[in-house]
Amino acid sequence: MTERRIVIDPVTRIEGHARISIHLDEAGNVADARFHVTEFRGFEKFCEGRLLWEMPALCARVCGICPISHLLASAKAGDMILGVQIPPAAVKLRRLANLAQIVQSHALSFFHLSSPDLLLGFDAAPEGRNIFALATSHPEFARSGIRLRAFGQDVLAQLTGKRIHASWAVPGGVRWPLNAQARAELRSRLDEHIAATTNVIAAYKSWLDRFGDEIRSFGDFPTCFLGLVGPDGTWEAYDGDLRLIASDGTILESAIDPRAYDEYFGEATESWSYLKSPYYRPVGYPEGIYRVGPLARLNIASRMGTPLADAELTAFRSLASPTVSGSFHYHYARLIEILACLESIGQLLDDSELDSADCRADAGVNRLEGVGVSEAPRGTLFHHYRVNSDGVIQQVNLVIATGQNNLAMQRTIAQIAREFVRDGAFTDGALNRIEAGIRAYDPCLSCSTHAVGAMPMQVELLDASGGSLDHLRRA
Amino acid sequence: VRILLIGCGNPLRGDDGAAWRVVEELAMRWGDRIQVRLGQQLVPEWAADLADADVAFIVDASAVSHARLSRLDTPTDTRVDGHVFTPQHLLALTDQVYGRSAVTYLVEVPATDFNFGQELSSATTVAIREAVELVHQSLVRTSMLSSASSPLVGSNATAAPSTAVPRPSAATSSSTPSSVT
Repeated sequence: MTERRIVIDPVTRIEGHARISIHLDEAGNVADARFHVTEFRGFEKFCEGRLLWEMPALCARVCGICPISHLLASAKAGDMILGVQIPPAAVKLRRLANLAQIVQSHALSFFHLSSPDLLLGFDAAPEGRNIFALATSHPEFARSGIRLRAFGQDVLAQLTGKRIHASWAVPGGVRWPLNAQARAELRSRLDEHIAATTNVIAAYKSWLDRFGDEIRSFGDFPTCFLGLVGPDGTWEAYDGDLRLIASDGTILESAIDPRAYDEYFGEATESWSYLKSPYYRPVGYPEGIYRVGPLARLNIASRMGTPLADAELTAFRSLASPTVSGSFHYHYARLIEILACLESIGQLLDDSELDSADCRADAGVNRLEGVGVSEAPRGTLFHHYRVNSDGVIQQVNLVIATGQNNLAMQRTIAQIAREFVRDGAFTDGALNRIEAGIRAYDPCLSCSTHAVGAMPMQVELLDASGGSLDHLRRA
Repeated sequence: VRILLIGCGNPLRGDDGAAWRVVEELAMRWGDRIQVRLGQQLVPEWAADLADADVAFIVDASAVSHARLSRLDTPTDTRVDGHVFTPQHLLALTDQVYGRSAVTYLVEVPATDFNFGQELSSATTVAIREAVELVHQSLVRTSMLSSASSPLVGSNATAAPSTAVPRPSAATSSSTPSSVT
């Protein structure tokens, strides 16, 4: 029997480095597909021996796109080890930082990385399917994306002192508040972005009819969904209850204790990827597949909690019931989350408690173990630390959002390949759809840089012995 | 005249942080008469800043022998390749999205040692002083030109006229880098 393999290496317009291989059977039909994460970071190992108080700043370096996620999850793990309840102002300040980060990260994903596919077409030539071409064909749209991301970055810079890699959140709270002048300046800019986002959502909905094949094949299958919700089921990004629902909307777990996360979720590993594959233990591996991130958060929430986003959630829910299962709709969910974040940022910026200097609780080590959970732009993030009585880190485990989507991404590329790769033949448009299926999840492979446009991509058709049968290369 | 200084590089990788030192020194000299952006790499959102400015300097470490300053023209080829977003890309993006951009100069600072650490090589330390003087003199000339044609903006750059400095045609712009030797 001759098995053949298509390799997409590297996957472009994602944060990090990865490769996709598609295995074909004798008849040239897709037998299997794999998403290989080829970079290794090692934070869980080299953080051992460091002090607990260093961890937020160290872990912010995990990523240049979502450093705030790691900063906050790490600080929250530290809160638990100190055994403190952080001041109310610190909760609000951290929440504001997380919302701003979601805005800038989602803007990057949607406007810079994915919209060239959506606006210029999956079949457009690669050299004409990037942000430069988009800037020429849709300058107002590109301008909205650039300004929106800049706004999120500016909130973070004002709040944390840096656009990336801040060391502002610490075990016990945050280092400083946000003064009234900065709040007013940021508040004055908010309406522009809410209006622009509302317009983009309206435009996006009008495009959906063009993407019937992609909506059907970009990871549309039943899975569980995981994320944080507020006490009344409201959409939540910083704190709250960990909720897991089934694809039929049934709540399987309503409030998982973060400290017991490993009782609920196993972490499988495969020899062909550095990315772990978490799964829901009661169902087992790999059947315990679940998704996190914007799509999951909208599926598990009963409401968004802000007026404009709530109206959009109603429209989103009309796509499918009881849950929206197509991963193509991560884009739509991402836009609704931007709107919710902007509205919530407005509410927070109106709160004078953000000025409070009482934003940090001091304590020593009161527990030897802590788990911090927050919602990163891409989904639920866990930081789990064990320390000794001096606060020296003994053990670290990080469960990253992208890892939790790993099983779904594997299944997604197989589904797309089966739809668009026929009889062993593939087109550039088919390859881009496979990449775009991954892009819908906005995976962050813990890299500090990202591609702005099309990177060189090599696709090889290999036989079982590794011999090249055919290849396609993008310059 | 609205002046923008962009410094690009990783200050934790030896000479790659040269641009930060150049921009920080100029920021001390010129205060709020210039707008400053610093980062590990160029990012698309700086297009908005480049569109709002009249004159911009993008400072970066480079494999050159002397500090040099050269005029950047918007490239016609905006293909991107890998994790690279060049000053030319930023300029092109600005022109495409905003229909205008500042008169932009690239300031290259010689760099040889990119190992981990904040220490600079002796050659780059010298070159930083040269680069600072190059940009400083250029800023002085820019300010003098501005004051000759209109009342001096003074210390508040945001009060500058809203129109961009007209971009010279490609034929009149200098393609020869000036340098300090």
